[in-house]
Amino acid sequence: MNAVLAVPFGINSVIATLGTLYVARGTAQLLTGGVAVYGVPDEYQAFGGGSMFGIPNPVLVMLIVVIAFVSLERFTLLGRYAVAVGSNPEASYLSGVPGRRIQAALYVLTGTMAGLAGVMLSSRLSSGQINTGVGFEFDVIVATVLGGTSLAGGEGTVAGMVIGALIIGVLANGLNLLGVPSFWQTVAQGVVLVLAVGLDVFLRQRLAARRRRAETAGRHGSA
Amino acid sequence: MTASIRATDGVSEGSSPLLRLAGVTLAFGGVRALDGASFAVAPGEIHTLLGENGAGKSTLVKVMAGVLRPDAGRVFWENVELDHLDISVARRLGIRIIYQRLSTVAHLSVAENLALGREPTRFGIILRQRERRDAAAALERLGVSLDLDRQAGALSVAERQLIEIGRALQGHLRVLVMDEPTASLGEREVERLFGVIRSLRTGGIAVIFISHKLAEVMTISDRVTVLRDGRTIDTVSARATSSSRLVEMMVGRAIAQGFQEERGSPGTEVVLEARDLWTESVLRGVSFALYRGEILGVYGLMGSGRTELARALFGADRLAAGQVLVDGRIVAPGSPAEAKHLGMGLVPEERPQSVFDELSVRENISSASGDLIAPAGIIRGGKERRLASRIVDSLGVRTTTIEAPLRSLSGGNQQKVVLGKWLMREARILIMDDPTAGVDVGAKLEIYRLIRRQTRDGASVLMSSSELPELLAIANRILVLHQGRSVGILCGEAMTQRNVLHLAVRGVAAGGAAD
Repeated sequence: MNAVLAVPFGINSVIATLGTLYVARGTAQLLTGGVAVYGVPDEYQAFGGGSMFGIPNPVLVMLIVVIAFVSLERFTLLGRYAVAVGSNPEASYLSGVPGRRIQAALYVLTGTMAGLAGVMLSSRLSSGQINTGVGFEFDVIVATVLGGTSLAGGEGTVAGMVIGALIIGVLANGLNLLGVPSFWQTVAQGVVLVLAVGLDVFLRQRLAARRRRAETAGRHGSA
Repeated sequence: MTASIRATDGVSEGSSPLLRLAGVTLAFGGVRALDGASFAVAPGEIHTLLGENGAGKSTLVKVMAGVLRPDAGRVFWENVELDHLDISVARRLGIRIIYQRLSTVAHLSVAENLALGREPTRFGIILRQRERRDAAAALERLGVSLDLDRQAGALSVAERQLIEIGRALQGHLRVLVMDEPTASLGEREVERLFGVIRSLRTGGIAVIFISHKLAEVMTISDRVTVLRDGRTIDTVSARATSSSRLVEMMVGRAIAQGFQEERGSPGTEVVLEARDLWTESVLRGVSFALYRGEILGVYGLMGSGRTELARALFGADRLAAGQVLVDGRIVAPGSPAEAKHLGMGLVPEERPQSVFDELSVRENISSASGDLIAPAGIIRGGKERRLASRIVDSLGVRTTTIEAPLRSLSGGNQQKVVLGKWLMREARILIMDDPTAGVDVGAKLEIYRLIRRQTRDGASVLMSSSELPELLAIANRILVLHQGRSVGILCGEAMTQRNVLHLAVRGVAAGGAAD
């Protein structure tokens, strides 16, 4: 759905994603009338709530997903092209890289992963609740940016993102353990996001300034 | 240094230089943009900086404006040495630059643009009446009439340029630098601009004018300083010099002397043929045939369609009409991806369009060869490294390792990587759009050798260039474009600077030299 919106029409990817998120959330509320859905089968509960070899299932799933995506990033053409299209769309096009197909594939993959996360969550809570996912979109952005991914595209790694997510998780957990009220936790998250993005912008400007110098050297005449 | 002494002597009106630079050197990475350049400008003179692309004109101007700090060299203002020149000092002295990329704000009106940054206010409220009055006064000073309420975005380039001059005039202005102001102006607009520039001269302002259109330079300038490879060749009085003497100074003999290899002998099979190509906006009927093993040069003035031709052949821009034939079969590359599978490769005009600066040399080289290194979508790391190393070795790319990020390479080496990207997939038809723009002379020669070598190995090259001596030295034949049309193909004895220029400027052959 997001792919359909963002790829051919060029709608900003974050906006497209937020738009469909609200449509989906609203639809869910319409369907359930805002009431939580209970009574899921035990097997379904075991998926998110159980454990294997003493390791909770969600952790196992996370490990599998991370390994899969790191491999995707490192060893496949899709991973390579994802970075290429993000960092220089024009150069990618002129190299014959199928940019739109790559972008669409990435949207589908992210959508699938979001779906998987939803299944895990409802299984762990053994119920379907409308509001459990509220604010996750924000956490995801914070985690990604903290992990070094550029919102402008072309930069970032799966490993970095995992670290970003861990920082967010540890931060939330730590604040909980310290007994910080949840309202303040929200404030803290906002501060962390702005700091992270601010740092990103700052470093990028320095890099751009350096690049400009180098570029002037490259052409060093009239353009 | 001799040049700078001559320059100061050359001010005949007895006025001493306002701004003088001596022995300015500025290098970025491996490239020496300025190599001991000297320059002096006097109040009330129009002084042109002349030189080919990459001669160092823009860099020198940026030094004057304090945008770039030189590594070495001295700057004098009214014969007093400045210990440093940064943007704020330059501004205080009254040195202003009007860049090619104009900085008018599209959504503001003419009056608002003229006042931009120095709006008359009281208690933070803009005094609109005064703003309009000042704007009208500024335009009158320039001797032009523009509707004060029109949005700048609706104006022509020439009109926006006038706004920028007006803006500069409102502050303290002693030296006005214009970087190729006539590049996209029509004849009448150029005349008007020159009128304005002359009136500035009368007002005692020093005007530094950058251009490489010789006729214009001869018309407007009092003096001309020629730069080449970051050095000042000479400063001469425009009246006492001929344009051919200026060309000689600009071009030098370095390239022709440095490149005396035997031209290859192309085969007889046509590998790429264009029949009456048109695009929506620029191409107006381009036809040619490219033979196996041939280097076909493409020359034309700015706006003649060189870049559009390269992009259209490669499927990057849509053709409105015409046919492209590869090996005698009609093909219609609808995208670069298709063109690539027909054995074509494109080295685009601007390097930012062809490189991934953050990615490694290896990743850049293999960026067009996904099908070779990853047959089933899984990258064969070993094969990729082997192929990339081979390309780096054979092209002599100077890099510490193939894992170094591309941006750490010099311009010439980056360009070799772009070429290498197509050699990795053994492209037989290389389309190169000004491949040596902005690389230093040494790297240029290497690139020429590489291009020659590819044609000996059976590849065919369509190479456009903004530097004619380069094409004369390397190409087997030269295709000349004029206003989007192919107006002739010159070869052999007829392939001279005079004939090519004549065709490019007028669109008709000089004495039946074209075939």
